[in-house]
Amino acid sequence: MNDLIGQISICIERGKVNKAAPYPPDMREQDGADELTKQAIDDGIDPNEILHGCMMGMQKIGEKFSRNEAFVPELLMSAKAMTAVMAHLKPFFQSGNVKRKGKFVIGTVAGDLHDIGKKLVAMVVEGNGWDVIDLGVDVSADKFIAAIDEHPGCIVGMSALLTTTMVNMEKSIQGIRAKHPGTKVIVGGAPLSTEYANKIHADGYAADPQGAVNLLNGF
Amino acid sequence: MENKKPDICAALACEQPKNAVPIWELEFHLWNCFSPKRVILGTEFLTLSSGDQEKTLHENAEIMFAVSRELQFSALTIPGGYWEIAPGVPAYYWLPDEARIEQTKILKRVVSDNLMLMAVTGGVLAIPEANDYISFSTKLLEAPEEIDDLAQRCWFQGIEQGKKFSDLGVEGLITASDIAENRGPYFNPEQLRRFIFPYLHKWALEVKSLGVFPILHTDGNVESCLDEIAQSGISALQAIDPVAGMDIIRVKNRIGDKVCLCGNVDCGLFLNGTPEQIYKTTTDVLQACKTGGGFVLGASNVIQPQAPKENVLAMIEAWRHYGSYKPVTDKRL
Ligand code: B12
Repeated sequence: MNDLIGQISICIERGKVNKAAPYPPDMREQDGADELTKQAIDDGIDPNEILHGCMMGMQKIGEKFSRNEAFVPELLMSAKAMTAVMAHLKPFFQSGNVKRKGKFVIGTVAGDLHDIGKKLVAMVVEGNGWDVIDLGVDVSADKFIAAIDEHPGCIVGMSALLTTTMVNMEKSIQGIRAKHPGTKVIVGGAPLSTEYANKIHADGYAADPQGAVNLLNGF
Repeated sequence: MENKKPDICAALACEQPKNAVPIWELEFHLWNCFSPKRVILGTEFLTLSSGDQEKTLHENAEIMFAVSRELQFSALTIPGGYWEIAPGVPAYYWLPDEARIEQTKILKRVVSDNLMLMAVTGGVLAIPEANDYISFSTKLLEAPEEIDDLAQRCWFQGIEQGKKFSDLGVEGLITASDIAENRGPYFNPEQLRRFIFPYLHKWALEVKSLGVFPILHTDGNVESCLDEIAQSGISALQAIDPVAGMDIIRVKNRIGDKVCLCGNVDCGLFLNGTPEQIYKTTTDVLQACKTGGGFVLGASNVIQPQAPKENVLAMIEAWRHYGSYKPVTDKRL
């Protein structure tokens, strides 16, 4: 593997955004995801390879998070580094030179304002090569359906943290199935379980972002 | 009327109460289900004329006291200060600052010495609300000195608020500081040592010096830092979040001799469980935790307004059967 790609991957895993970023302390003054990606593009490295490096870094931090070896703020920093890479790759996505694995529409269901878990899933999935559309919090069934209309073939992710809003997941799934029968829906959130996911006919449940990536890659 | 305060004082001091396990809810939203009159708080309270506000505060106090007595509560959490569950979305259980003070004074007169008053006054940092968590998390790693300042300010304001409410006769002060989620602490161990535990310790000491019980509310899984929590000097730990897999028996075995435990009937079960399930869970919790005292029964977190009142009654019913400390054959309370 190209050395630059390896370094980009490390920057993502460690959350090193750019040269000016003081975190992590042992990488101070070193180039970050931002500079290294720019350099890689200038050196003519295939952007697909850059995306691949990004995915490797994101997968590593995602797995660490799953093993409870990384904490939410650290994962958010990795996501920030990943965003810096994506900013450089954007033109290649637009031109079609770099292909992503698919589209993933995610939101926290109606009545629920818990944002953090949904955001982490969105970021890790994006860093693993998916085009992510984050609809935010308090997302109604109609909004999910409108997003599927706009992004045909997407996979949908729903987050719920409250017992009172878990029922809105079921309603949203029913609404989606009525209009777009083939759409795959995965669900998650603190009070959820595989049993509940099965009960509401979701296509998958995961307890953390890496689990979400594994589900998506398995479809 | 039976005075329930001595029992909760004993439990919060980690001793065994004379009569029964005390009952206390961190935040109770079902006042109106148990009363012909309506408690008016928050945004609705703001729409009232000042005369009606004054009248409402008196009515609120009467309702809260009557319902607390009916439900056998030993303590009552006064409505909180303004907070938003999301930008522009105020939480249900709050009053504007001045009204909150006034409500506390009136409540104190109404409940007299029959109930303990509790107030959420803060003191320790928590997982931030709304979108603040992104910049907060970045600062945790990139500019920790700013978080030092934030923690110091949070502690200082908590103490100031705490003093105000203890002067009004509040006897339990709560810092509602969610430091964890399902997997464990939000903060890494170094951050916990720097931004959380020193402040929790200072806060607990200061609150105790006011002659008041310091209580930490935190959701999430805090198993990995139970020792630090126990050593912080707080009187009680509230929540013991079952959603996050916290096992109250394990917690009791580990720190039950140092910290009073308050909880932990799953607040989610109040919403979607049956009275039978609530009865069973409450019974299990009581049987696991009441021995030796140092235990206060309640839901793990807010009992939200959508919960059927039968579920609250089922908890009380289980308490009537299994909550007594009295050595008599028919122990039903
Ligand atoms: C932080 C928090 C809040 C913050 C939210 C801040 C924010 N910016 O999002 C605030 C203070 C606003 C809040 C408010 C409330 N909260 Co709250 N909150 C929490 C807390 C402590 C942590 C949640 C969190 O952020 N976790 C961190 C992230 C990383 O974890 P996560 O969300 O679980 O997500 C992970 C997985 O679940 C999964 N995942 C998540 N989404 C998805 C989606 C997909 C597709 C997949 C595959 C995976 C997946 O991956 C994520 C990463 O690992 C939990 C306690 C707990 N045990 O979780 C209570 C908790 C969720 N809250 C609860 C309650 C009751 C409330 C309130 C009603 C309280 C009140 N007094 O009003 C309000 C409701 C507001 C509303 N309408 O939404 C209860 C819910 C109980 C229930 N069964 O209904 C909990 C469980 C606390 C408890 N002990 O009972 N809360």
